Amino acid sequence: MNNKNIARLPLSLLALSIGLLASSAALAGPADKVYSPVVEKGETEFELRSGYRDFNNSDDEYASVFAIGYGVTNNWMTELVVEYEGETGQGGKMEAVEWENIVVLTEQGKHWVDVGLLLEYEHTFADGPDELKVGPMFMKDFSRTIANLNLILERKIGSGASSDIDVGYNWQVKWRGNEALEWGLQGFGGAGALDDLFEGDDHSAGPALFGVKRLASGDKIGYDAALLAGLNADAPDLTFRVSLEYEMY
Amino acid sequence: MRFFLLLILSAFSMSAAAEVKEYTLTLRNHKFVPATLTIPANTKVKLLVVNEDATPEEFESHELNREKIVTGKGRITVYVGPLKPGKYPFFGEFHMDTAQGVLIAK
Repeated sequence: MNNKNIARLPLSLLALSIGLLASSAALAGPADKVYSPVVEKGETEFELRSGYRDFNNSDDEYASVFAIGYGVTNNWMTELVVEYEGETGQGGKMEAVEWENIVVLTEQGKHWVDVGLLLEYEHTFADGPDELKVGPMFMKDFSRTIANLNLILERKIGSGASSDIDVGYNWQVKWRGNEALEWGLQGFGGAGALDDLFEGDDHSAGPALFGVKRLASGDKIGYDAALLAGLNADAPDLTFRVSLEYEMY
Repeated sequence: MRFFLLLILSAFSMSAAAEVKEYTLTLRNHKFVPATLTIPANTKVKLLVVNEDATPEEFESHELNREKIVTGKGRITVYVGPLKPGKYPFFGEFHMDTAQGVLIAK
């Protein structure tokens, strides 16, 4: 494969992945995260994410996920995720297991924007179809500010699956300062089905905190937390989400 | 969707045309050589980090928003900038007591 073909490969992979989703529900969950197109070969991550969504006109929702991830190469991290979900008054249960992959398409800092791809397959334990999620992720440094945007396309797969593709997004802006405690903004939302965008869409955004604690062993503990306000009628009134991550090499 | 594909295409094409100056940092006995490296401000540069030690190291800088593993006897490239004039510390996370350095952009 010559250099020109290698340069075209990330774009081809992206186009192929989007093409696979030829057909799509609310995407954002209480324990969602914002992804970055940065992967380190040989790094193992343990991650615990939890969230609570307060709805004014329906039961509140909560969810937790536990994930174990490994950087197979400097361009590919694969993660196994188990998800626990529930609603107030109905109790919680193990909801799904996910195989999540981050593929880095550009070397960090080399291009105007860093680009990666999320590929995720979710097998639900409940009755109903599984889910495939695909989408590009972007990251851009602006001096001491880092901006991330994830675009997520979701299609149900299996018995009873609709042919819709749902569109969701996650974003964050982080101001770098003291690495133990930084602040920023996060937003999560869904834009509805691709064929009928902004019908039943939901949007939430709010302040977020981020931080990293380095251990003497070289391992790291990272966290981020956000309090999100619903920005339209279909969004939860309030969402609280928190993520704790342990990284080791 | 077209917007994002165009964004990606633009990102690739914009950078392809630019010539990026390269600087070398060597890891020797778990120290960066040179420990202080001056680069032009407001310009993207490419750091070639060469690890002469047998053990791996992680090039890391919170100020630069970079962290990348370099294997023993290995080498990596790290793109940084454009940076405003100033000092940007970096370190080797596996040997933080010795592997310390600073980029000076001016």
